[in-house]
Amino acid sequence: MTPLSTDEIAASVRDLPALPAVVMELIQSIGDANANAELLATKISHDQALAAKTLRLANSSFYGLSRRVTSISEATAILGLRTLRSIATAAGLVSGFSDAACKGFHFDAFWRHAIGTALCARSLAQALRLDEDAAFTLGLMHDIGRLVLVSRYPQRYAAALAYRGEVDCVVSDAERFAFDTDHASVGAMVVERWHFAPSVVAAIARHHAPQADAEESLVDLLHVADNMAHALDLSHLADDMVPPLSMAAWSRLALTESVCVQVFRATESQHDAVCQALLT
Amino acid sequence: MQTTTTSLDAVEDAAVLAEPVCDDHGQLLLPAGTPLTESLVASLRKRGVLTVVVAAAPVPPEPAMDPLARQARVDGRMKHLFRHALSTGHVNPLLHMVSRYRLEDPQ
Repeated sequence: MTPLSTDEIAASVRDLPALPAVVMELIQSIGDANANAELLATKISHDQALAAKTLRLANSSFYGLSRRVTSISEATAILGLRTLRSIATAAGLVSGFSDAACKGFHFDAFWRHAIGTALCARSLAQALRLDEDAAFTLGLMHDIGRLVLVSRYPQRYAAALAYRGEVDCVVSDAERFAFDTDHASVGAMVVERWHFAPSVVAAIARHHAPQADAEESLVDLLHVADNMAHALDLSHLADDMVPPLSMAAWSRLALTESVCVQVFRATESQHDAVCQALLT
Repeated sequence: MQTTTTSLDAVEDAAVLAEPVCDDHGQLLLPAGTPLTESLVASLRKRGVLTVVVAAAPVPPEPAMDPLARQARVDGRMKHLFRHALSTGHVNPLLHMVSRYRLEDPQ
């Protein structure tokens, strides 16, 4: 199979259908302390589908609200603008891609893993005193390059998955066999095009290969969260495989076993509720 | 409460009526909550009753899995998930952490 050139893939990324404007604004405002979150909340409430899904997630057991919220402004008052932005971004992202006809690719399993990674990332961020909402969004988007490859090149991606089935390798190796690139590189191109903060682009680009000698807390956090979500078997895919863990990143986070167990418990107790709110 | 409609011939011992049984004229024969005995079933049959609605038998709790069998199941799945690390010799502390967690916090 002739590999696709990086230019061809970059052109595909440029041609990606845009997510709804309000979702793009939400994504671009992550990490921007000056973003007008109140205005964003108003825009969310004007998008009926987005507002409905946002409220469904806000009312799920994940956020443990003592009473049901019925409007975006009420959700904002109770949860805070940052959390609301994170919830609406999740709702917008999951709705922004539709299932592709690609043999061997399981759309729901993809999102179950992404949501698992998001929950692990959020819980790890809590333990490490990093931005929990940004970690959640990053976890949800970390494999977005796969969705782009699957939706733009379904047959070629099916060939990558068939190759993976034959040799039982990690997904990135199979992608490089069929595309000469992998989902981490493509995902970084996508989020760069969406004008994400450089730290987010770096985290997505290197989530399978954190640098050995440079501490980048978001990269390390995402790498370990992804590994944990695979290890917890959250995709429910029979042939799931835990990718290689960078011991440099693991050591830098200095996680104790009791912290890890807290992350496992929190993630597993919330996973079904978040999947139900976002995927149905 | 889960209920099930069953023929009189198939009523099990100690089944409890979930709905009252009335005759063709609407007259109450037995109220809901009555435990059905052999003689009551025979009496209903004489009055032409064919089926009754009873409380479904509670689903027995799944027997606790034998600890060794549970450990074998967890070990098997962990080895499969971590097959890349195990086949290449890469160290992954999560293998042991998640295995211990699975055995201590069974789902």
